[in-house]
Amino acid sequence: MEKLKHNGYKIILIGGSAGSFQVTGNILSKLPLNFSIPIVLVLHRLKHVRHGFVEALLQKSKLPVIEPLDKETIKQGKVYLAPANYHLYIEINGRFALSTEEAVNHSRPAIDLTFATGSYCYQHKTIGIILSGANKDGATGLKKVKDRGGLTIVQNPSEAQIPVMPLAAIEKSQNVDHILSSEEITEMLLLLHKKASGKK
Amino acid sequence: MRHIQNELPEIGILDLRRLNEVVLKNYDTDLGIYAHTSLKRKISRFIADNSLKDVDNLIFTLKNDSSIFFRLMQSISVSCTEFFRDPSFWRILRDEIFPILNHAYQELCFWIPGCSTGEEVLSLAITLHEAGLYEKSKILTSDTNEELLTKSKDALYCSTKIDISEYNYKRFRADDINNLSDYVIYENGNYKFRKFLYENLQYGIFKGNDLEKKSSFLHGYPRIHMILCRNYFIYFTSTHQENLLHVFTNKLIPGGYLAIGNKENISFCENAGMYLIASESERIYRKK
Repeated sequence: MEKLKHNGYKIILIGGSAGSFQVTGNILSKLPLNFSIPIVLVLHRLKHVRHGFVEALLQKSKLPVIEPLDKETIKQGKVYLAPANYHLYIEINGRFALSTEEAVNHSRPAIDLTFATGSYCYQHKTIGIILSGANKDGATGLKKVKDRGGLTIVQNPSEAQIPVMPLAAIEKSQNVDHILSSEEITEMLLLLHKKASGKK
Repeated sequence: MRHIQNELPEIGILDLRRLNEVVLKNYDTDLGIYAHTSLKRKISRFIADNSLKDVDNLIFTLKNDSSIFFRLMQSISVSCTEFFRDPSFWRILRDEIFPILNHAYQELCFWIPGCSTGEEVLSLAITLHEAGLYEKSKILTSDTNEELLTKSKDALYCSTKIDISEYNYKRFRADDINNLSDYVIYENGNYKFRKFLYENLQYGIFKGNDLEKKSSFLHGYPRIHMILCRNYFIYFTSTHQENLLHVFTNKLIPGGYLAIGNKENISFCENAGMYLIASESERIYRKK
């Protein structure tokens, strides 16, 4: 229990860039169809390529993977992928909001913005996970999750294909809750699922 | 150069409410129509960029200096887009929608409700020009206040912005013959689009609240054939989106087109039943 802090998590935010796609696919492939917590993926992607990403993740995932529409309500049992060339916000009313405001950290979608708005809504019921990547997007966002009492997880930099993003996140938050291999991240998510479904 | 920050001052719901009261009272403008998160972010950014201390400082300044109001509205209204965003959208417009409209009507009237910095307006003007339809077309462009429109009227673009958009344009054209820069002239260190592209533009105020009553410029144009409001609804609450769609539906002729952003949605709106899908992938609807 200490490892998870509590059983009431409402949202899992995952951010990554270069080298994160395969890891994400591997994690998703292990999660069951009735997975109890909604997952939001913010993976840096080519802004001019609108199609293909969801399809590629669907090859791996048992859970449905969708790009949310503006004002769509967040639901359990789904994996949401931030669409190309938009920022993805989470609003107080439990819905997504999209934005074409300027790029942050040279990125749109920016991990920082989804993590900041998600943790603002869900506070300590937020889980933030940072995976492999070549820039520092996500570090500020993960710190927000940390400051609001959420659970913070970073892919082990020694395992990450490109360690810049994990290292930046670890440095910014100082004491992230867990530094894990992708396999351990999967195990933790499965444990969360077990706890969350067992509670009901 | 604008500093890109990702750590901005936090604004609470109560701050926002107090700010909205002052803006409504002093400037007859309702900030409550804007989607919450991006509004908060834009206001935080504005506070930081203008070296204001906090929301109270902004409220105090707004009470005493109207010029800051226009700058605030500008920063709320501006979205960061490109010319020919989503090239596939412009191809469908050119290849599928324009031929139908051209065949059916002697004159065409388009409306871009939130013209912001004008990228969408000029992309439309160029596409119409290349289809040989610009002569018979009018493009209504509107924004929430005069200051913003003036900015759109003398739209100047820095070279980096043209570079990004050139790539979109090439994908739209799918040839190596034409360049977006053919439409651009270099003047005093700035890039400006050629004058003829502005000739059939019509500017007007389209305010957020009391939409129809206050948008007198629309009265002169009873027959609108297409409304382009891509990535416009995302900046408003769902309640206000309902109101906007109501106005749009009233203004469009039967058989007229409505284009929204490819991740926007009108299915929850009361008026959704008034539309058929003309292009699923590009989110173009046709009024019944």
